[in-house]
Amino acid sequence: MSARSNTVAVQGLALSPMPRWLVGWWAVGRLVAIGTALALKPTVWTLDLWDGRWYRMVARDGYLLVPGRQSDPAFFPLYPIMLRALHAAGVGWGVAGPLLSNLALLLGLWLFYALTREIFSEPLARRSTIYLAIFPLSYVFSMAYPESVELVLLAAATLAALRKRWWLAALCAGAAALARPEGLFLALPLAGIAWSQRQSLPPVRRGAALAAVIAPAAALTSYSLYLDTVLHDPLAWSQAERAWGRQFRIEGAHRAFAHLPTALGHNPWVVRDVVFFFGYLALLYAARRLGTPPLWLAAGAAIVVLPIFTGAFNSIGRFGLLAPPLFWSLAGLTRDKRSERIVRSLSLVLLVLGTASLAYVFP
Amino acid sequence: MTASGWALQSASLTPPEPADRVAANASAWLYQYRMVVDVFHFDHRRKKGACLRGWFPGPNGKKTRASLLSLRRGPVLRVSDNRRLSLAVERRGRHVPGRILALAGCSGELLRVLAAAAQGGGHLTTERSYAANQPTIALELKHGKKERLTLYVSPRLYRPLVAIVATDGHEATARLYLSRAKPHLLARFHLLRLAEARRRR
Repeated sequence: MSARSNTVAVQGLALSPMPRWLVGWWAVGRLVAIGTALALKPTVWTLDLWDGRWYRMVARDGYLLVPGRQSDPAFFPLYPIMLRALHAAGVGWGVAGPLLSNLALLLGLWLFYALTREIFSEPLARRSTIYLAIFPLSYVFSMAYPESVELVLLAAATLAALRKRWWLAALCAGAAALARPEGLFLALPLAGIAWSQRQSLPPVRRGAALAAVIAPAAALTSYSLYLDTVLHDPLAWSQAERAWGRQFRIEGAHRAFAHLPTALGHNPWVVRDVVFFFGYLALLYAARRLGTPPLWLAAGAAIVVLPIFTGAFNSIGRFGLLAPPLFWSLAGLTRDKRSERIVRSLSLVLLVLGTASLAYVFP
Repeated sequence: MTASGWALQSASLTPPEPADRVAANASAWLYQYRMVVDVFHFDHRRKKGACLRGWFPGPNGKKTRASLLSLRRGPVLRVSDNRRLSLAVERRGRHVPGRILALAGCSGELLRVLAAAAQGGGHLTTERSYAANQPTIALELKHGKKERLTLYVSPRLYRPLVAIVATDGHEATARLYLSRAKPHLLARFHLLRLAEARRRR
């Protein structure tokens, strides 16, 4: 899968060959995460737990909404479709998710590196790619979660846009919105890139650029239409989210802070997400000073801040993995060798602890 | 993009099984109505009762999610979410198979069992049938050789009408009347005081 997608990506996005150091850091991060997961529960495949079970359920049995109960329409369809394809190729359900995610991460890191080099510089691209590969919460990239696939699509869509391959960008942006809700925010950087190229694009390409900007919304509409077809409820995913305790409200952010002491009493692990939330805010501020394009910043801020409007901080740490400005900012703050080494070492230690926490709490 | 996305999902994902869909639709009714007025038939006896779902104080005084099943001229039973049965109000009378009655006549219990079966790939089957003086769909859930739950639902709206539970040689039938928890109904089944205790705490 990897070799084939590498070829396609190279042809479509004119990528330079995958650097060896990138493969090395990918391997280091995966060895640490998978090794810790196996050491933690050698008989149970820890990386297939939590949401992974729900994605597998969708892949195997399709969607079903049970009102008032946690149901699977809350889990977007692209990842289960890929799981199903892998299973049809003979890969067992338990292995398909982690296999897909780990391989997709390698491709995702390569595209992320190319994207960052295009926007900033090679040294910053190198540092931010390494940080993403070994980030404390990057064990999610090894789990049966769609984050790795989303990273591939997110980086591919924006890189294709920067290379003026707008139809490819539209395809990737649409697919990204079918993998995770964060894909919707891709419209912002794509709009920024389209605006910056407006003078140089011929009319047909301008149409393609517009298609890429609206592709995430169009793809999300297709998910609603599909749910309407099979469950007779186009908003089944929103209903299911409610049963998971997620419902967008204007006063949600206030509720998240007001109910924080209760939430911490109920589940002390929330402190992890609160710490990451404030850390991400600081990194977004630093990303602004680094000269990150404003619409990229807006997308990053939406990924980090909007979830608290559901009234809780849960999983914000994981959501931040899909906000590139955070990693650009971290790389921008650690230009000297010493601070780079500190961040790498600290990340690896926290990656071990984070993976170990999987036995107790969802990411 | 919308059309191709829809086509991709339709071609790649399986639609839910008809029996799972019936179970999910019946669950929607059970979720909406937290009170059920029941007419039970068990051990050659006919007994009226009502079941109320909510958060009620347990034996240790702590509020947990539970159902209160009150039988006319009988005890009020408390069935917690982990299926533990306790007496909420004791009254003299003949022994009643509380666990089976709760499973047949409480929306919370039926909802839990049906949803788990539909989502967990339980052995659910459907067939056309007749119950409560009307054509129905019989949704049957088998667990092992001796346990069986049959829920009869209306064919168009999937509203639960009758539930039959058979387990360990006992069988209970409940005619289900899904109701709003109104004070006069709660009072008639001695649940008003318990429901108010829930609100006060």
